[in-house]
Amino acid sequence: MVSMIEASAMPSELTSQILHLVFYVITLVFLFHSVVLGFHWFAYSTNKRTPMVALATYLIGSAVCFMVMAGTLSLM
Amino acid sequence: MLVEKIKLTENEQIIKLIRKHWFILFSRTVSVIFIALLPIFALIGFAAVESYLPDSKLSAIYSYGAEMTFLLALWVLLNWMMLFHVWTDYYLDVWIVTNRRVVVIDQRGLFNRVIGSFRLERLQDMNIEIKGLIATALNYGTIEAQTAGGSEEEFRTAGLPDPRAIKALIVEAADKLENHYHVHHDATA
Repeated sequence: MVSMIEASAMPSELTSQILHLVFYVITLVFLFHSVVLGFHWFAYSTNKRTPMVALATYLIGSAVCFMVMAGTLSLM
Repeated sequence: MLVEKIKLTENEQIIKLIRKHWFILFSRTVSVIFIALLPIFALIGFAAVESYLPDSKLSAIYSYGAEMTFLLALWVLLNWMMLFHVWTDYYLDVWIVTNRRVVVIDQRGLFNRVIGSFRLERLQDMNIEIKGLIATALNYGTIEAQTAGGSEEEFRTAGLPDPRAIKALIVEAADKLENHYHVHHDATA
């Protein structure tokens, strides 16, 4: 809580750069995680439909989060 | 697909495919959702403190609307990824009962998968354990199968639904296989 208040003294340009960096890092982590999850679902699933539905749900939900993050970054 | 990977032998048929009880997934999902909602609870807490202590300077947080929204979306995304991680762990833990053997698959995280199997004729003993109020009410528990052979092995999985029925199913399949061998042996003798 204290650190967040102290952060208010941080230059907004630096904050924006840090959040951009976080965005790129989380995108890489997400891509890696998606490939690994997708591999497990399609390789070890007991049917074909479940991994397709799971992948679609996972990607749609993640896309919403990424859109919100990208939108807020464009506002900074 | 999993069924192709376990390579069923000739005349081998899958009798039942068993996953853990739904409550196991439900309780883990609720935990993840609760953690995902923590920032919302924190913001509500800040607002409550702010209303009692107007000089607390907590309102400074709200002047960073875009940054806060970004961090919230990031938090939700991380929890969303964790949710699917939890589901994968649940979905890939399977007991496959065939008319010849039992295949036990234990997914322990994403890069740790333990696959064991025992032939029904090697089954020596099966124990079930239903422990706790929720497990008793919802009828799930631990199944332990001990097999005989060169090295005595033990197969153990917690959180399986209706353990008594699973035990009965496996014992029945083992008896059927034994009878089949007896009939076959008598016919050839």
